[in-house]
Amino acid sequence: MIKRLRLENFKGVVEGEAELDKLTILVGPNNSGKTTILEALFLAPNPLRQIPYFPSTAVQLLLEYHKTLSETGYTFLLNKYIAKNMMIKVDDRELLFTKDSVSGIAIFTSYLPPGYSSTHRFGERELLELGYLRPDSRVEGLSDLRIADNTLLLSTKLAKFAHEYLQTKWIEILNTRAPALISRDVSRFVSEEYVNVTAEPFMAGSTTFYVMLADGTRIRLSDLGAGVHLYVVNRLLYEHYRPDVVLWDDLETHLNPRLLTHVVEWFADLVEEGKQVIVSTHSLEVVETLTAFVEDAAVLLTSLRDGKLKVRKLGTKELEEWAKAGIDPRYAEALPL
Amino acid sequence: MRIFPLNRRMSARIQSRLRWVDKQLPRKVLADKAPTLGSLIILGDGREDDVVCHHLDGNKTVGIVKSELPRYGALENLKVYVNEGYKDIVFVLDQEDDTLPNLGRRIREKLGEIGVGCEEERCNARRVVRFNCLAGGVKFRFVVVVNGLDDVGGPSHKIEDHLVKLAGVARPMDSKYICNGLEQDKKWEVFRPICDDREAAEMVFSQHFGGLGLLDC
Repeated sequence: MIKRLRLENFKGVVEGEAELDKLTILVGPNNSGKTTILEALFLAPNPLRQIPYFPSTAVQLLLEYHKTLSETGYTFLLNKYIAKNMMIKVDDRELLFTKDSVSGIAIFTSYLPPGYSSTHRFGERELLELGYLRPDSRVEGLSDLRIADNTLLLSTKLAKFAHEYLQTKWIEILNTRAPALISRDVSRFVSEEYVNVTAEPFMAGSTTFYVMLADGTRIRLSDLGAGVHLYVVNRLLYEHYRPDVVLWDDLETHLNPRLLTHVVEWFADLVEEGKQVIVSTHSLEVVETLTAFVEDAAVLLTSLRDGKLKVRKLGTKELEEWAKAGIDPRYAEALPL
Repeated sequence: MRIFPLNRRMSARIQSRLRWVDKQLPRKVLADKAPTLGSLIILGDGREDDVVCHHLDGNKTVGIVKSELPRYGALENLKVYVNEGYKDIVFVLDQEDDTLPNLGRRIREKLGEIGVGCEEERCNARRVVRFNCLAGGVKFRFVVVVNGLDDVGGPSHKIEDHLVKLAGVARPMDSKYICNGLEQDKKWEVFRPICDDREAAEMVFSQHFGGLGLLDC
């Protein structure tokens, strides 16, 4: 389990840290660092590792996710795009990024796993070079190494990057029982009875994903309601990739309260299995539902001022007191402390 | 002074009501950014639109909150606000059919019940009581502002006393009843001078100006 995250010069955060629990709920105003925390945790095991999306490395996925036009390179990761160094530290393991005007951004780690020895020495510190993020967006380095628990970032905006991956891995996924189980599971929340998920031709030889109804009728996954689509894709990704830590950005997006409760129930199961779940939300309903299912869930209030990330942990008792006193945690930026 | 509500429901209600009067009004009354001052208004009664009755100069921001429990019950949560760092707290409630001495006594009793030590300060403004308080080793100022006007309304005094006076329709009967009978347009017209005519507002809301003036803003 990742217990502590520290950031320096990562995206909008000049400095800040957060203590994490088995189930952590990030709440705060827009631009208060919630997504930045999730993205840092997504990169933390190794930005160069293979992830279940297309683009297939963690850092390349974030590049695509944040791209608006045709920009290349990874300076978007550096504070104000000009920081020379940045750090993501989980527990006592550091990922250090150093910008070089010619070769791009070099990545080092202070963690030397068994079988690896240091490649660089900075003063007393021995570091292992993990790889490079090149200005033309290529990446190279040690993609197999993990320096922290493996994480998977889920979000509405990322679902589109999952389809191609799922297609390439479909034979592996198909031969597990996951598609049938997930489609039956989601049938509890819709009027139709789904029995499976399939990948089959659509028009002119193109392939697409379908949910299959009991009578054999197919409906394209992308034609389902957005919440059902999102849940099916995210569950397929999870079942295939089996990360140690699930990160879900803006959990409330597209989820009806019934489906939301079901997702939360799934999270509770994951936590019981020893997995870690970290979500961000703007919805008090989400906070209430999550804290109802997982009693010792931690609610972290985030704020970001002048690049300083501040995180305050709230327990369920404090949340109840606030509710009685008329204080909404989403407005807690107004509290003097 | 501008206000920053501490919850969504309150924020939405105030904003929608203010827009009804004037689309520019929410910007004059509600702060976009969180306050930097440790000052808070607690509403003990009534609807959230009561807040329009406070002096608005737009320069400084205070938090505003309405507790789940009404009237004296709102004080049950006083320590929550103090623990969050508020050092200047104004509690606004209707007089209703309490006498002013009785109301003051009940507030002192309530503060005692919740373990807040208090020392009353001299204050010349009518319907304003000011305390220096101590809770859990933390000092804070606590000001009580009581809604109501002696010469308006029946035996029960409330925020509507001020509104009917400002609207020029005060009669010796329940001001809430008169207020409810006003045409919606007229009801909201009342709020315009509060924002546009400080002198008129100060005459009718003297205890609010007096009490809120004691905040550090």
